[in-house]
Amino acid sequence: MVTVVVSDGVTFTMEQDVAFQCGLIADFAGGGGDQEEPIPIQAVNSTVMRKVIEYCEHHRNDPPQPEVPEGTPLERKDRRGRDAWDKQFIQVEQELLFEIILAANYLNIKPLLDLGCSQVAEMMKGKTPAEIQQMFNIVNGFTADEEAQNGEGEEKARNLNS
Amino acid sequence: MYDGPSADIATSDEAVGSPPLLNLPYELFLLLFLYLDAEDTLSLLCSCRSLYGHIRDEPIWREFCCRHGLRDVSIYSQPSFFVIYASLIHTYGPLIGLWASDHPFTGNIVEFRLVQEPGPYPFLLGEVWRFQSHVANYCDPKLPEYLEIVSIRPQWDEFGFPQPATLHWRRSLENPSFSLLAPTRLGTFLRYRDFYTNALCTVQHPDFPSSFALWYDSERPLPRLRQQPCEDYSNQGFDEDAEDGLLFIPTEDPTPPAIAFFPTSNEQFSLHNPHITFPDLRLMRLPHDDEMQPAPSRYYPLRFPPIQDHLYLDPGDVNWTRQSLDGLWIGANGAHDSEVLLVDSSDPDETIAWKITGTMHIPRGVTCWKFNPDHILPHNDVSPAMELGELPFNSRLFTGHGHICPEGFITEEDSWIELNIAVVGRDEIKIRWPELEYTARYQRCKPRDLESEIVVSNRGIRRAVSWS
Repeated sequence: MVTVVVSDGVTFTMEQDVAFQCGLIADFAGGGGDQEEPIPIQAVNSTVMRKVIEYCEHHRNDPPQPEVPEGTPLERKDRRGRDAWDKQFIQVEQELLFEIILAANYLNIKPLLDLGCSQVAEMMKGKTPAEIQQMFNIVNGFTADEEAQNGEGEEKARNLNS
Repeated sequence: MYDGPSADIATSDEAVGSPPLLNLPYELFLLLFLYLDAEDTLSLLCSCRSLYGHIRDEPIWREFCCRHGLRDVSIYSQPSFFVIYASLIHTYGPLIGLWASDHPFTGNIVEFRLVQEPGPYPFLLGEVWRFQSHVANYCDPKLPEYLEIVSIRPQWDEFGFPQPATLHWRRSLENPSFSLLAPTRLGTFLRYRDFYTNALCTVQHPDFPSSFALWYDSERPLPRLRQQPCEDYSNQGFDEDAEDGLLFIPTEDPTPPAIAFFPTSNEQFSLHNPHITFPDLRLMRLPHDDEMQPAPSRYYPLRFPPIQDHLYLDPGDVNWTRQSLDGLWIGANGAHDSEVLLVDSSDPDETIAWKITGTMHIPRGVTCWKFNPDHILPHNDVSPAMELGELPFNSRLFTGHGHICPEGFITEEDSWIELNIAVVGRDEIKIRWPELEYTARYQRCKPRDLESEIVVSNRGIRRAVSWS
């Protein structure tokens, strides 16, 4: 068993094969036997850690995922291991989604990082810049002049070749 | 190489209390583009000032160039991934690959590839596959010659801002171009006089692609060009009593969009439209033309599946299956030019070889031969084995059927003859066409080995030296 303590002081105990999907914990525990001291994970809070453990428990028996070669076409990227459970799992509030991404990165869980990033991308697909602003609560920050220029620039960029 | 910020993507004064998307560390921000297409990427980068600052970031455009096979621009002094993507690849990158044309009977193949040799910039090259007639050796297939028709080159202005790519044509006198043609309902029909009844008959030429065409690569996107309507047609000097010819007649089913080359001037025309023995009366007017012109061939994306390692097996291997044959093949076709076939085993009962290029007898898009994997020909069946010539002992032998027809492919006249088929290697099939007293060899078509090709002349003709 492996025990961790997160930023808000909550401790979690899990089986080794669950815990070791986090590259960070596997490195920390060094592959040795049971850990006596809880491993401190200051960058993650208990809400996020609960989600992370849920993910790791579900995927504990997965074979290691093959690397997606650089430059794989989009259609083929989408097709790999994102099953119905994953899709359901990652349907969360936007704030939590980004926290999961940061945690997956910090804890070094590559498949969860991929899942989170592809979910953010999914939310952007087919949207206009204005719709993206709204969806992600972004203030565009352009001055009126820049705005006008951008409109042209964007138009130009889009029409470069057609 | 890019060595920009690895901190958050937002500037520090925006970062305070700013939305989580803008607080992502730069390397995680870059991961998003792995899952976005170029249009969505542009929308994202144009959505706010701090993101707009990343619009020329090389790691972003490197990803999109990589998807089209361009992984390195360091050998070029000037253009960046951004410039090459925006000028060249965004619009024309989807051309990369093989295209099969619907030219009646013969079909035709054009290949686009990305040339990444040392030089001022990478560019796209379009080449026609041209098979030579080989009277001397009936039985062996020949690799095609590759005739350069067009190169598409990136451009940028004095500020390094990408400009539309330019097209450079070879072997054409007029101002050529190519277009993306919209779907059309125009079907090609053959009018002929029946030999026995002397009646004038009209029969539809096989659709290319048909609704079930396995060779049509629906996964490949089309070049990002505006689709040109192409419904304005006529049939040249149409005369009810004329003897024969190919006509346009509207049909129920639209074809998919296609690329086509213009104008259909003589030299260009013959490259894309190999000679056929019926007069082609089909004319078409395109939006930028004043007059009707001979109808251009429509080119469709041709599937060229990579060979899968676990199936790429010697016929003597215990794990060999008929799926090991799937892919493109080039076959000898008697006194005709070599022909391109797609072999497919997705049918549970039969492995079928479809003609991608064809002849006046069996046109493109039609089944050439097929076999049922259960119809195994015993090795000790002496006569067929003898006819196939000397075979390696671990060959697999089948009986199958070959498609034959008199010139014109009028479907009531076609028939199937028995064949003996020998899979003699991973890349070789031999077929005995007994009634034609002819044994043809078929070689697997593999990705080109450009290094070994020889440049035949300074007119942009390349030729493979041997089968790889």
